[in-house]
Amino acid sequence: MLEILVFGELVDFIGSEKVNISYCTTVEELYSSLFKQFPALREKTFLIAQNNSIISTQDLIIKGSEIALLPPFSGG
Amino acid sequence: MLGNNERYIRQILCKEFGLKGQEALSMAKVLVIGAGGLACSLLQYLVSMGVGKIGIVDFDTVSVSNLPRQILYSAQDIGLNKAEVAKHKLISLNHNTDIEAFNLKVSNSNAYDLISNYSIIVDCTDNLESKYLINDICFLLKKPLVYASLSKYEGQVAVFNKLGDSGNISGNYRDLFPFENAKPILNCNDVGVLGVLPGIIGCIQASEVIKLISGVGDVLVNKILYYNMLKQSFKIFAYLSTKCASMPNSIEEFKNYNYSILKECSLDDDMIDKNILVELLEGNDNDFCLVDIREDYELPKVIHSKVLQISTEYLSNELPKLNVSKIILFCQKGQRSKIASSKVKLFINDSKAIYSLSGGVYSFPNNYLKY
Repeated sequence: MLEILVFGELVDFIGSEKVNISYCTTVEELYSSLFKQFPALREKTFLIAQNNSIISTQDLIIKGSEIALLPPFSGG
Repeated sequence: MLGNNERYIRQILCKEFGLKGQEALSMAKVLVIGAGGLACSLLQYLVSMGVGKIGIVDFDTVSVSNLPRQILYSAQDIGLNKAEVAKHKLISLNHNTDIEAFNLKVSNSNAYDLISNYSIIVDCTDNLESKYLINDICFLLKKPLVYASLSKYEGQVAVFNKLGDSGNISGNYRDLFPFENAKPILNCNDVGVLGVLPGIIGCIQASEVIKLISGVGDVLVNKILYYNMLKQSFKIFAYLSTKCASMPNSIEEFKNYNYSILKECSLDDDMIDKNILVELLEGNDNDFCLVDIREDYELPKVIHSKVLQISTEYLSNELPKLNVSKIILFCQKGQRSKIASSKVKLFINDSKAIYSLSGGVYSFPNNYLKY
């Protein structure tokens, strides 16, 4: 399992500040798994961080990592 | 240079900061763009601590709903320009600071002239279009940019374009959120914000400005801070600086760059405006339903036989049960319904058309509204 921390307005789409999903080896798999479980995320912009570093679609997910979904904010 | 060391003695006593830091503050020229919640706390500290010159840019006027979080303003300022009122209030905090107010909206055509005259730029704006525009001109002019933004109970802070010891420039907003991937997001007008949050984030942003000027401590370079007020948690995420393909390469390109396409990242085909709404309300077509997705306490209410109230979390369950082919979602200003309509479309078959009412509840004629 992967524990995922959710930030900003994504919390309203996912329904919680933390969510567990099945382990994925790549960021690409993680995106598809998230989109399958939470289709509304397809419409959103967000970054994925692993152990406090933002990662790109080519990166691999390390078992036991802390994953975070980070959207942009626009309020001022 | 420094008229009165006595005033600043407590900060001069911080040995890493010292007289050198204080002198650096008195020489600094800081431009603050946006004079809303973030700026109201940030500006008071920058002025009180002795920053030499501060410019404040905002075209907006003070409104009553600003008062809980924009604490430089009071009821008698309603209707007045924010930059002018802020300048007036701040002068009385510290006569040593030279304060300039700009009653204008930052744009492709004025950003170069505005920013050229300042050494550090602070983004306190409340929309993505301005954030990309300020980011890009600061990148082109190699000006350090102290960025912050808010969402409900959370805030972000980062420092962009800092010149490193080896002459390299640190990352910028596009390294985090590429312009081409930008999509509409909710702002404080739609999701709300608790008054104290911009105060906290504005203070963190001010501390980054002070550290940048004085050289004391580490600033959030190639890192972004996410703060959550409900959990009192601070998380810092590192990112890599990459060359952004779509960044304007010259001032000329910048001046012609279309930032307003961000406004068009919306669902224009799936929106209806007040004219179409009136036709529906007063016409013979009964095959529609108006869904108020706001919370119970939000006013004004709409009084019409076709209105149902369904909270966003129940939309995907409830909308398929409605026996109509056109469903129009509405909220307070049109932003939440725009996002909700894109979300529910993923759950609903094509026999129903889902629309969002542009402008929200205020698009209804007054005779349908009850306060």
